[in-house]
Amino acid sequence: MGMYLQLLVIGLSMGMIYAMIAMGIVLLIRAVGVLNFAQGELFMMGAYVTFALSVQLSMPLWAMLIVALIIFCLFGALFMFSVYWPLRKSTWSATIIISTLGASTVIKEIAKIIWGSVPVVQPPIIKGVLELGTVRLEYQYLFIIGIGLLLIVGTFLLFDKLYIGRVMQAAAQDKYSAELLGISTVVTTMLTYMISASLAGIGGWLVSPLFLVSTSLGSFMLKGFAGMVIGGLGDVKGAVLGSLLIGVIESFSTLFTTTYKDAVVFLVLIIVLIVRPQGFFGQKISEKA
Amino acid sequence: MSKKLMTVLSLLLACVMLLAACGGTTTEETEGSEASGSDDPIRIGVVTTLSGSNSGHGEYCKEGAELWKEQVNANGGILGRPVEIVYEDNGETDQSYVNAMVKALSSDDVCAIFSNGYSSQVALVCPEVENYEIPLIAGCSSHALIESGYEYFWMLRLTDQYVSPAMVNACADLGMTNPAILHVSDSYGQGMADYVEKALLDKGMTVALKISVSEDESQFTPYLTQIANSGADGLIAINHQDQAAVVMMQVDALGLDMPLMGCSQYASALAMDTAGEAANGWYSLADWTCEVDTEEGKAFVEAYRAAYNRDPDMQSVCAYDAMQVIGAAIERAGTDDPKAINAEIEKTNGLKGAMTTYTFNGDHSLGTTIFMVQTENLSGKLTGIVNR
Repeated sequence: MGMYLQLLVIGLSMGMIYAMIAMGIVLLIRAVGVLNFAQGELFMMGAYVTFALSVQLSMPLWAMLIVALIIFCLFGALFMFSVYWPLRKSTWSATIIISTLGASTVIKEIAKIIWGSVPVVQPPIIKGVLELGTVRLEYQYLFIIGIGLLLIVGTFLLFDKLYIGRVMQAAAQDKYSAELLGISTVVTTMLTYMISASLAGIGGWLVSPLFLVSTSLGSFMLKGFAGMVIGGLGDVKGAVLGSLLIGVIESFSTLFTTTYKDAVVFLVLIIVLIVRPQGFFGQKISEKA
Repeated sequence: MSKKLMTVLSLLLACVMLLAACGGTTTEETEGSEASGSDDPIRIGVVTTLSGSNSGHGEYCKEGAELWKEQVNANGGILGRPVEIVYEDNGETDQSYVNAMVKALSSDDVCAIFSNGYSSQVALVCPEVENYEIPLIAGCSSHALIESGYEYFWMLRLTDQYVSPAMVNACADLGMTNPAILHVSDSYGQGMADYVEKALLDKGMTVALKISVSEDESQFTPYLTQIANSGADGLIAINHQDQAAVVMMQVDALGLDMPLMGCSQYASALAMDTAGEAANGWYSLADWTCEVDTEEGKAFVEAYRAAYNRDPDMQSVCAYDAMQVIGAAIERAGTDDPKAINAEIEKTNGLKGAMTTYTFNGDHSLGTTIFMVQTENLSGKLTGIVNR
């Protein structure tokens, strides 16, 4: 029983990480209608930036978090103005998607130039194990779940309860009308990119002590993407639940197969796509039409 | 008209003289080469990872090879000729490894090659090595490669088949009776895990759990959780260096309290440096430790530290010793002809390298010993030596 609880905690914490990536992707889809293939690299940059601030510059945690958030926001804005904004009026819809693919390579290469290609180590944010009888839960995983919950709740509150969030949603739904009402869609789009980059960056920071900080962290995006599709493309709530499901499935699949656990995750994705193509919370394409 | 004819004839004469001059130079050089041994360098290829996330392996490898080259050239080279090492970057993928190896094999004048590629990668290029008839000494350890019977392929280290029983004996000494095995699923990891499992069963021990993970796996906590709950009284881990570091870190984070035995990669400088304090306490049957007690080993460590201001890794010593084996074979052959060198490698007998003594024992695995070490303060402390 203890083992199942441990696997559940590990699965939920990894699910939280995937959810942070997935939420960032969904927010951008809703705001500008673009699938950002560089979200994994923004996630990876989060790990590198926090490594640089906490290890290379020896900043205390509070200072590191403030500076890191500022960098994530600036990076989000820079990303938008370099990858999305110049191409937004392109007549070919795939232009921006290809642009994000190119950006993912550029970001990865920049990281290699700055930090080298050899993986580096991020010390644990919280070290130790919580022992409950025979159950041993690492604080790091519990910390990820806690921070993940805060971010998810914060994102929902932002878009559902706060004025600025509603303004962003309005601008995302109808740019022309929003502009007529005096809402600057440049600002709202930039804010969305900032939030998306921050979610990915914080995810990268949380996961970096568990794994080595390397450019391969970008591959986490695949699981986040799978979570988003299972939940329902374009739905934030669905992205979170889909990602948590992916994390738990991945963790428990190790009981049955170890070498092919990633295959199990994507097998589930395929089954969901066959049985319910719109995902758990998405609308059918026919309904949308 | 006659002026034009004169011009044409002059040009023709100039061309003939130019050709003659070129031919003459070649002849002179050839004659000089035969007479004095020539200044033409003896060229040895090294195929290693010089870019990508594993470039640290390649840096150590290159340093080991360069150290040997500097020492040899300072003493007049081999057969009176300087030695030159040709490096090929095998990148991060199997395809780039094959490309790099083919490039090295097809390079002019390369008489032998060393590669520290993984067993699965080396297996891909062995048929090509046979085609080119250029000896390849590899730093991998999969016994399956030896069983394939390649004529031009040589393994510097002891193979898994020889190491596994020694590892199991060491595990028994640590009190393990029912250990779990965690291994990478490539040919190296699978092969060694199978040999270890067989050795455990032969010794009357049992295997609590055997977990195979893919090469790009980095999340080991679910597996370690299962191991902790499996009734295992020890962990035997078989992974490559980068994975070994992550395993050690996650074992430490989970607080897994049992005897820990790793393959040789767990005692590598790269894995220990990356894992930090999490590496302490791990036992390993390692091909290399800086605490080596032979004269040759100590001299190598001293020279390496003086040259690079850091401790040598297994990759460094493998490259250094492979160069020694090749260099000795060239000396005995009296030529840098690849076929002659290959024939002489087979006559290697009692060559004292920094890592071990090299002898042809009937198969193409030249190593004869392996160290038993325990990591303390980020250094492998020698606890014993196991013979083939």
